[in-house]
Amino acid sequence: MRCREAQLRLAESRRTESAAPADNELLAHLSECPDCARLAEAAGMLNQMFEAAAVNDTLNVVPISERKHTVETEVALRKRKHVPAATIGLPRRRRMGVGIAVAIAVLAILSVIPFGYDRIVGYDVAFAGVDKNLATDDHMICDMLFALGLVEAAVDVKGCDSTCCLHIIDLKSSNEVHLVVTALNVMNPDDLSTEIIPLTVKSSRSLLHQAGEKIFGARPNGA
Amino acid sequence: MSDSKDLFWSLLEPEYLGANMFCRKLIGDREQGDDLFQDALVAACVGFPQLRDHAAFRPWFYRIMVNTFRSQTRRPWWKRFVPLTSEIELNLPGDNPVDVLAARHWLSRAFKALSAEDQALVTLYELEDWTIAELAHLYDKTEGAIKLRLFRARRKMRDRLLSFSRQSKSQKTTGSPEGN
Repeated sequence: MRCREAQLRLAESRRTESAAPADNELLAHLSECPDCARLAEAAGMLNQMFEAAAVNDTLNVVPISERKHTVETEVALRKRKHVPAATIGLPRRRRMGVGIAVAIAVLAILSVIPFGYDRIVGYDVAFAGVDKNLATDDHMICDMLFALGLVEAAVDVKGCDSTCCLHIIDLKSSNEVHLVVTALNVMNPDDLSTEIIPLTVKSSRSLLHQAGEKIFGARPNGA
Repeated sequence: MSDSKDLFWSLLEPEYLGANMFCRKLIGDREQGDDLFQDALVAACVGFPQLRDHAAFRPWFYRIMVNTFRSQTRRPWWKRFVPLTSEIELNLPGDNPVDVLAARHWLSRAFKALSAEDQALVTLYELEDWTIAELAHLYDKTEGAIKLRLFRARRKMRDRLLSFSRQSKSQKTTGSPEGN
């Protein structure tokens, strides 16, 4: 007998009284073939398991009257939960799908609608209490800016008495502001009072455009 | 509305005990089976007004139980229980499936090889003695298709048991301290 035939006969012999099939030819094959013998053992084990597990476990069964009360209470509680009017009558899974679809649609619409806002295009930094010698030494300030790579920034000195007010104009980013403030604090012997003034322009752009700018960086022709 | 509720409970009455037993066998645990039964009853109670053919109450109700079971097993990964490793499982008591408890324990191991739908199918056929014709009606398939699914399910379960048996034997031959 071939293994395939033996396995078919084993499948047919399910739910017999004993795990071992009463088929001499098959038994002979099983005694010679360890693989089929293992299959027969597992199949017999499966049958025994089914027989044992088929016994009803009737312990602590809740009476139907009690169950009716708990089920109807739960149903009433579910009905009281707030459900959006548009989704009444839909199954719960579909209702969730509708909710997600609506949220995505709203987000998509919001992302393409342009809206006005103040866009920061640069910073001016005003320092009060700058040492007069330092503030009036154009070379020192310009060298410092050049050393920091801020070649486009401009310098303006106002109201010199014992100390001066120094304005660094046209800084492009908050990083540049941080660099200048740190450098001036190192160069000036006394504490400085600093005011950072953001330069803004009125702009109108969609969220999508702004996200693109954040991710890919500002385009040279972008306002 | 009240008539509909009364009708639901009167149709349920002859099925009540059998359905509760089915849920317990399907899950392999009394408390969890009762929870499944409760959830299925709530779903059935809510959906009952949509049932047009009251003669088909039994398959309709069992379908709801199977669907409830399936949706419970399809929980997202962060809600699933972490399964025991095979090493831990092999050291659990009940290696010899002779009594009901051990049989259920082994059955739950073998059931892990099946989908929720197939677990319900095998439970109904092997443990609840449903006929192939009744199952074909419940699953809306031909009798041949049901037989084939049952055959494949049995084969998967058998293979799973074999793999456990092989693991157990190899562990014993390597002489792991836990196995002794």
